[in-house]
Amino acid sequence: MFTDKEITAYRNIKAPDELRQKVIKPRKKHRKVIYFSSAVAACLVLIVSVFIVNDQSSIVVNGQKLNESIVYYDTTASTRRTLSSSISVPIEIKNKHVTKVVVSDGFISAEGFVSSKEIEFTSSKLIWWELEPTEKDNVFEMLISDKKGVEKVTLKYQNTKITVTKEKVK
Amino acid sequence: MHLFKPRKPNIDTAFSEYGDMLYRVALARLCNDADAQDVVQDVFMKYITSQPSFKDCNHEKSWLLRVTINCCIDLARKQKHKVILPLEDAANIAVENKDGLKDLLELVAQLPDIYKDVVILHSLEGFTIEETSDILKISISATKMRLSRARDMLQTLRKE
Repeated sequence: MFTDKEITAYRNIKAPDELRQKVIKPRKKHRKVIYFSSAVAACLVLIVSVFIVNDQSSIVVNGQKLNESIVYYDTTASTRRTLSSSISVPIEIKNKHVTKVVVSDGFISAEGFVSSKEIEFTSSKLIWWELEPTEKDNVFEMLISDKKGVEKVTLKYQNTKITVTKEKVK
Repeated sequence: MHLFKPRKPNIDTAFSEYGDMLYRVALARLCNDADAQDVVQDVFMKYITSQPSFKDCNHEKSWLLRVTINCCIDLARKQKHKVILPLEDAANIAVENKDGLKDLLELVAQLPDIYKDVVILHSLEGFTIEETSDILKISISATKMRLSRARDMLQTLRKE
């Protein structure tokens, strides 16, 4: 069919070097694109998570961050025992949004605000929850709401033991 | 039970081993250096993106050849109206001995496509009838038939 000379000439054909460059390079470019997009994605995740962490509100009761519950005794210096049997619980609310705090019992006092059952403020605020617990009436509720939702803080007073819990309200 | 260790695609090794052969097949099929390079590039892009698993070297070689031939068919279909002058850029092809090459490629170019494939694989690349039929996914008798007809056509073309 073909002469040996023709076949030899055919088999001596080599792929040009430029083709090798074209074939090998896109893969390296492709790999670079993957590395670059992974790095960008990782940065985005980091930025978003930092934003989410910063955006979350937090409640600090008596100097301790309230995650689910806190137990402490009002003999500590931080809880102000006022006249009669009333107690004053320091609660710091850290938030970036407009926050409204409403209490079922007692009243709220804060710097620059008149004591009342509800208070509204922007950004972080240290408030004092003034309560008068009795043997029968010793469970109190506070609702903290912002644009992201409502949280209920429950305070239970037994002798000198104060238990504070937090839960999301649907 | 037939056990085999799957061969993972490696573009560097694959190009070193089969790059020249795939370029030759594409060049003989398309008679154009630039088109042949485009086809080989496409084949290796498919090789990277589809990440096929191969039983052995022969399986890998058959896969690459089959994809090359299919890419040539696709490109030829797209360029149906393009006038191709056989090896108009023969001077660019890296060959040690160019004697007879142009004539050979011009002869192959005149064959119908179905005969080109068997001639390129069996007569030029040196694959057996069985290997050729396996690569082209046609029966052995069909391969033999095509080869016989291609031989007759080439003889006629040489006389002309």
